[in-house]
Amino acid sequence: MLDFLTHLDRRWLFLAMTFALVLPLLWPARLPFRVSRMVQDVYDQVEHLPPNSTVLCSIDYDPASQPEIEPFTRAVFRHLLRGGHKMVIITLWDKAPPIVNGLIGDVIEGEYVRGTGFFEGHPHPEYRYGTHYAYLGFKAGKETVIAGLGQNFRQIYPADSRETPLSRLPVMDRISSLRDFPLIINSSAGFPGAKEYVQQVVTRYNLPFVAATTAVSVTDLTPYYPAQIRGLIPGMRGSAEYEQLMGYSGNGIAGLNVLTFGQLLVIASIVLGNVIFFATRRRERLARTQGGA
Amino acid sequence: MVSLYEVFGHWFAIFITVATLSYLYEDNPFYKFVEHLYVGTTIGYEIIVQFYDTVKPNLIDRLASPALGASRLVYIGLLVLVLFLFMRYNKNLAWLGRIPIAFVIGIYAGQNVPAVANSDLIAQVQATVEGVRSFAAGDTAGSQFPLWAQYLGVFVLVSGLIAGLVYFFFSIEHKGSIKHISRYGVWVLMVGFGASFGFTVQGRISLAIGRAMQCLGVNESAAQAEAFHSRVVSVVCVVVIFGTIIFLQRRTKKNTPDSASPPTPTG
Repeated sequence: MLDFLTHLDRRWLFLAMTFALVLPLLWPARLPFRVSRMVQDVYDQVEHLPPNSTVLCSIDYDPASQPEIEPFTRAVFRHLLRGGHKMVIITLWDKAPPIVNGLIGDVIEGEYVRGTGFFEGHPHPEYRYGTHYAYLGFKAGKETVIAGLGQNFRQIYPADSRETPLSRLPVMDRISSLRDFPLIINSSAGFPGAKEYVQQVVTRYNLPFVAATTAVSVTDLTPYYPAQIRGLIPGMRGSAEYEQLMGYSGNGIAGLNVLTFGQLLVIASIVLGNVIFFATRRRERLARTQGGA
Repeated sequence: MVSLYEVFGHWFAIFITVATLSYLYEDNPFYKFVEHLYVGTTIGYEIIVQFYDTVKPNLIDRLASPALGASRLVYIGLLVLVLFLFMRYNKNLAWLGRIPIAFVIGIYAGQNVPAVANSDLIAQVQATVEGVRSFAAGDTAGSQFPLWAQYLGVFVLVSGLIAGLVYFFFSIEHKGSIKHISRYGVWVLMVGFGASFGFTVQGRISLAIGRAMQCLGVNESAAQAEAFHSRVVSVVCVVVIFGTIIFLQRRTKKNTPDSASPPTPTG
């Protein structure tokens, strides 16, 4: 048995992981989970915004991080729209524009304006581009751009993604720097992202800032919570918790159930690997002792 | 209404996913195709985006703008600095490349050193002290943990911070009580690395879940499900890709002379 396990082809493990991920998706099992304080704080920040607020959403992720962060981004868009808030959307990632256009098309123009999906039967045709939301596009320059946004927003973004000057967008009235937003929401998959926002502007100007991040970055960003980052969404788990707070089940909750099975397999593999290691070592020691005798 | 473009895009995404994962079985032509496709499209996309979002608005448009007048000369200077970066390919002029690099390093250092010192040192120390101070003052009402857990948390925070710093303090020899404290610091660091590893595993599994969701058509709308047939396409892709790999594998084995046979004696 030990020989069999020692020489087990690693591809069996890959196959086991495939089953661990695919089977719970085919036959979903809703596992219970609790909403953490970090996620609750993000929800509360959005929930307690003054009416008719204009919120900055910085969407800084690429397709590779979509499964972890997009469920939250969709949920927070719905949350902001449910509260009737205005949105200014930017991105500092060059691969993000197609994602942002998809989000605007699906959630804002599709669900909220036309009254489908989450807002089924409640269309809001009065919610218009330029007046209630605007997409300013991608801006190259990484943390230099973030620092610039803290000083003079309009110098960094003189126009939106459609080349319309900001002065002609009513949603940008009274916005001249990041300090004019009552909340900044950052969906961040790495550099530049939440860490750079904290370093360049959040700490300096004491800005109300919340972030969603990939699981890999959680330990890097946790020290900033709650003093600098007022709420934090840790990966797919955080997205699922936010969906629960919003009262619907999307890709976050569906993914979290599967994630649990995947994690269990990884833990079992680590335990089994250690058992094999110690058993092999013990057998070698015994063999040496018997050989020496 | 789902367009034909979307349908083929979705099918191609499934094919690419299965082809990429087929590398876990063994290296094969499908994986090689996807690898080259990924590198090619990424570079092509980056070049276009960087040109239209960086070079054109920040340099070409400003050089061509009469409204900027003589101040446009500044941008000619910047263009020269950019050209200096490419001088590294000429052995005699390579030193010119150091000038723009010096600018970049200087600007980044000037921008980041005070920012990082403020956010990662001063603000962090403030937050740590404030957390302990408010706990000592009896401000525990907002916590979701029981009191004993809060005591433990503060103890681990303060002792772990000090022990971690002691581990990196090399001006005194690590023996006696200092040795034990630094050992505790190592344990604290290991717990931190363990948490990072756990989150990294979680992140990687999340990515796999994202692909699995697309391949299985999870949370598709009724119109999408009717148009995509994701599960059927996934099964077809798996059968075609892995079937071809196994076929190629057998053919290669058949055509390769048995390497296990002993070499023929010569002479």
